[in-house]
Amino acid sequence: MKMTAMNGNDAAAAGARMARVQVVAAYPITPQTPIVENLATAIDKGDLKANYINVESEHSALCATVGASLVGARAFTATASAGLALMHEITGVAAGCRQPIVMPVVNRAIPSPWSLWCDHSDIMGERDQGWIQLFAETCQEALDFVILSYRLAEDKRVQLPVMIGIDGFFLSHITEPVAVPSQEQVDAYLPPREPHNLVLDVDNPLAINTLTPPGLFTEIKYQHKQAMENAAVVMGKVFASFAAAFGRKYSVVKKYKTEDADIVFVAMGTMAGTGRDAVDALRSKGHKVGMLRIISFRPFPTEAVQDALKEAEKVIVLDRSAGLGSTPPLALEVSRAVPDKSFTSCVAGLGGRDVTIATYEQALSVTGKTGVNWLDLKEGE
Amino acid sequence: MKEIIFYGRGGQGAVTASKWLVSAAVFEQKYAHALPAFGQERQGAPVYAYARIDVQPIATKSFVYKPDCAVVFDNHLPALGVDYSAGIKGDKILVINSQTEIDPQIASAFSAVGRVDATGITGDILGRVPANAAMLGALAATTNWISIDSVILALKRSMPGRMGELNAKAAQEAFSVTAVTRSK
Repeated sequence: MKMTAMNGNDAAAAGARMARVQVVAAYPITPQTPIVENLATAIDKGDLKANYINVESEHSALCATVGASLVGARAFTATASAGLALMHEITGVAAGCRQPIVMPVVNRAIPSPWSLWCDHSDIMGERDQGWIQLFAETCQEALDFVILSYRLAEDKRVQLPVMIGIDGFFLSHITEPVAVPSQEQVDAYLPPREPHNLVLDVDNPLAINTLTPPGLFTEIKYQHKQAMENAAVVMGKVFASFAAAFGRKYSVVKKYKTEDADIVFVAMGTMAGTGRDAVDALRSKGHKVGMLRIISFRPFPTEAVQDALKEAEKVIVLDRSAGLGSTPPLALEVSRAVPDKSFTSCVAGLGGRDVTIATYEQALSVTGKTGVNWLDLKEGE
Repeated sequence: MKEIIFYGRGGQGAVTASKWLVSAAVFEQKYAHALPAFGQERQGAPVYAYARIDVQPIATKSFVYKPDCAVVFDNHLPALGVDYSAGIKGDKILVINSQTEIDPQIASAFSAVGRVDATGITGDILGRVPANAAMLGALAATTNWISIDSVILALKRSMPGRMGELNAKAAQEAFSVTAVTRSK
C-alpha cells in the first residue's frame, strides 16, 4: 500500500473524508484546529460532499452534530481541552440519544494553569458520559480508528458515540508514514449509515430527549449500559473485519513482551510507544519488564487486561492525568481488574511534559511505593 | 536509528523541512517521523523540530535530547541562548546555514560540519523565502542518511509546479556546494 507522510490531525481528517461524513460542525481549538481546517477546505473545494456548519462555540458544535445525526446524517466533530469541557452537557445528550457520532479529542490539559499541551485530563472528564473512548498511538491509527469507529458506532447493537483520544502535538502534530486506503476499500468496509431508533423525520414526528419520569429513567439508562456491553463484543468483530479489509490488526489492548515479564507497565496513547522502547532498554539492563497499552478505555477491557497481566507479579500504571483526590483513572481501572497484584500508581506527562525512556526508568524505581507517585517532579518548584 | 534536531526561528521553515525529510524517507521505504516542539508561535522566536529516521518502525514518541545531527537554520541562535551543541557526544554532525566560518570551539564538538549559505542560495533562486529546501540539500550532502533524489522528489510532491521546481533547484545547489569538514 502506498505510504504517505502525514500528521495525526491530517490522518484523522482523512479518515473522516474517507468515511464520507455528511455533516461537520466544529469550532477550532489548539491543537485540534488543523482537523477542522482540513475538512472545511475539502468541503469548500467539493472534495467532500458534506455540510460544514459554522458555530460560535463547542457547545453549539456538538448540538449541531447531534441534530445532524438525529436526522440520519453521518456526523463528525472534533475538539480538545476547554472545548470538550464546554461540550460536557451535550456529550451526555449525544450518548443518551444514542447517536453514532465520531469525535477525535486532541488531548490537551484542562486549565488551570493554562496550557496548550498534552495530557488526558480533558477526555477523563467525559469518561462516564456513556461514550466509547479509544486512544490512538500512531497517525495510522488516527486514520483507521475514525473509519472503524463509524462501523462500531452505527452498529444496531451499539448506537453509541465514539471519542478518539489523539495526544496533542505528540500525535496531532507528528508526521509519520501512513498507509492511506483507497476510497473503494473504505466504501466496501463502511456502507452508508442506516439510522435506527431515534430518527427525526417530519413525516413521522417524534419528540426526543423529553422529560423522563423516575419510572422510566433507570430503564433507559440500563439500555445504555447494555449498549456499552454490546460495544465490547461488537468492537472485537469490528477489529476483525477491519483486519480482513485492510490488513491491519487492532485489539482492545496491545501487549509487548508481557508473556515472560515480572513487571508490566500500563499506559495509553503515545507514551505507550515510548514505553515499548523503554521495555527494550530496561531488558538490556536485566529487568524483565513488559508494556500493556490500553486502546479501549470505554468500555474498559477488564478480561483482556486480566489475561495480559496474569503472569506478571507487579503492575505499574502511568496515568497522564492527575486524578486529584484519589487514585488516577487508569490506575483505578487496572487495580480493580487485577486486585491481587503488587500495584504501583504513577502520574507523568502532565501539560505536555515529555515522557521518555527515563520516565519509565523512574517508574520502575518506585515499584511498590504506595500512594500516587508523581514522576519527573522538580522538587522545590 | 538516526536522531536529528532542527534548530530554527519562527518563519524559517524548520518544521516544514522536518516534514519533507519524512516524505523523502518514505520514498526510500524507510521509517521516519518529525515532531515539532510548539510554544506560543511568533516570528523570530527559537523553533525546534525533532526527527528520527530508521529502517524499522519507530515506537518512541518523545523529543530528541541526544541528536546524531543538529541542523541549524540561523547562526545567530547562540545569541538567543540556543546551544545547538547540547546533547552532542561523540560522532555527531552539524549542518549549518552560515556565510561565515563556524566558531572552531563550537565546531570541535562535532565530528563533521556541513556549512552552506542556504539563505544566499535560496535568495538567488527563489527570492526572500525560507531556506529550508536548501537546508535539506545540505543535510543530504553532509549525512548521506537521505539521498538528494528523495529530497527533490519530496519537494516536488509537496509543491507541484514552479515552486517545487525552484525549491528542488535550491536543494540541489546546496547539496553541490555544501562544504563538509570531517575531523574524525
